[in-house]
Amino acid sequence: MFKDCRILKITPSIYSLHFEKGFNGALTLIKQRLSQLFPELIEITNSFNRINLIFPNDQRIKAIKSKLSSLDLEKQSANFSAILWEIPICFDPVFTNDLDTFFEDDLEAVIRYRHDFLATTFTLELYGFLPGFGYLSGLPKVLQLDRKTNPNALTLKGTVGVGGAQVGVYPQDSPGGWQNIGNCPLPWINFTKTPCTFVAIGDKVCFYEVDLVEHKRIEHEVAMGRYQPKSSSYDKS
Amino acid sequence: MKLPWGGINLNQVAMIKVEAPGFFTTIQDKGRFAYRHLGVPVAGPMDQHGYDLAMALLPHISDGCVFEFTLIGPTLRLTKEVRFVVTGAPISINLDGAQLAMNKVHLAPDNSLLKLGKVEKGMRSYLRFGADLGVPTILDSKSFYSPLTAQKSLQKGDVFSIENTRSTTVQNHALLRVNDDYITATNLVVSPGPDWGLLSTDQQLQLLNETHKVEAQNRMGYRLSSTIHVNAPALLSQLVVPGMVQLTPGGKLLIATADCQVTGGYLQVLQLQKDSLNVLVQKREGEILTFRSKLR
Repeated sequence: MFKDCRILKITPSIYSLHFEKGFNGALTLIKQRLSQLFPELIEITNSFNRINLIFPNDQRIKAIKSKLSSLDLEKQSANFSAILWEIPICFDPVFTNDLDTFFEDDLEAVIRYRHDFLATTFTLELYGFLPGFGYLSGLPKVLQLDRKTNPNALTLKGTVGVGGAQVGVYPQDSPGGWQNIGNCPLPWINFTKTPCTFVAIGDKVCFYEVDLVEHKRIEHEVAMGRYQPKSSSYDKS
Repeated sequence: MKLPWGGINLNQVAMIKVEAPGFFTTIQDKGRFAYRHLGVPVAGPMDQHGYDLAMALLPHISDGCVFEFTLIGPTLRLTKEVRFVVTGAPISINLDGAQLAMNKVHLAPDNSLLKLGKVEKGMRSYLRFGADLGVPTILDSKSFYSPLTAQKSLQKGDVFSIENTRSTTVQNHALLRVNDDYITATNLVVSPGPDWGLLSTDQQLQLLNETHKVEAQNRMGYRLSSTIHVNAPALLSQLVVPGMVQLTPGGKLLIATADCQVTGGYLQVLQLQKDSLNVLVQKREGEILTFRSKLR
């Protein structure tokens, strides 16, 4: 069984494993082991600190517990290679910019924020909220922005948002309560492709700045189906 | 006379043509499973009982589609003979001027007009045809969910095909007893959710003992009133499933239904039993509900 982990019954056919101290970088490994242990699962999803087991029919918690007790992950090394994706972001004023409001038009603070944001390497934790909305972790404390008290009625597709410690790119127009800091011309999900996402859970993401002309060019390339996002293998050191 | 569609006489094409879409009508099959990891809602029928009954009455059709309509049903022109059945919330069914019964399979003749009226009690009814409707499959399902599917709801002029109809006669369902008490029931059976323990005993009792009014609803969820205010810590987003009762900082209860977001950050206080989810989705705005606890 795992250390610091408890089982939650969500419904008779859905159980969550809650990891008090997070996954310690072993999420992919744990998920892989769980899908071997429970081959009948419809799906395994995760949040920042839970793994959700979605069964096709009702289960007894005792049976799940006893199966889990046979798992031993201690001796396994968690060596999974990640990919680093470089994602374009445009700060042009044509896009909603909540940083000016947040920093009360202190231009220097806005510039500093953008600089530090671009220097950050994020990790994709999960997709949720909307189809293809990826939750990114790794935002340093000083860059974390409180959610809005009153959500926007309309946040545009491509908006890069910051909600507390989390960062995400809106895959479609939607109401939204996060602070909008820029716009990404590259959709993270395309349901006509297999697989329909390119950033996998556990992959690394960093943003690089593009101007409006480059933003439009990338949008066009994407529409023509010939844009390849930049990527490299991620070195942990 | 010049014919549309490159000279094909539309009246000779086997199809269902939407003359009026009703208040809010969608196509649903059993739903989109195994795509939650991409953030895709399950969708599928709101009232699983109504859906299952429609499927049981017109089985052996590969197409798992039904029309789900809310409060006011659609008016459909059927150019070819086809069987159909209506289940869920009671609604008037008019075929070429004749009133027909719910929960029974009927045969519509060539070029007939099927008019569904207003829902008499409850909220959602289901119409199933004994045919494949030719709805495109996206991520293993035909259920409408915009923007994954091009359409959010039925529009006037929409056309569906009538393919692979079965010529064999259906069995006599006279013996089939339909219990629709759940349409008017107001008790929701619940078990504790993952965050139940974050409420004080007083708050737990309050939640179970007070009544809750339906304030708003759609296919994503139901918003109910409550008088509980919790100063909960900011929570990380977690898995949300249909039937989950969430408590917002403002004291509202949000019960997730078919099109719910797959994750959410509110307190997850209770979980509805499967049958109670069917009770919930047949309730209208303004109706009063209570929770009844079920020991785990």
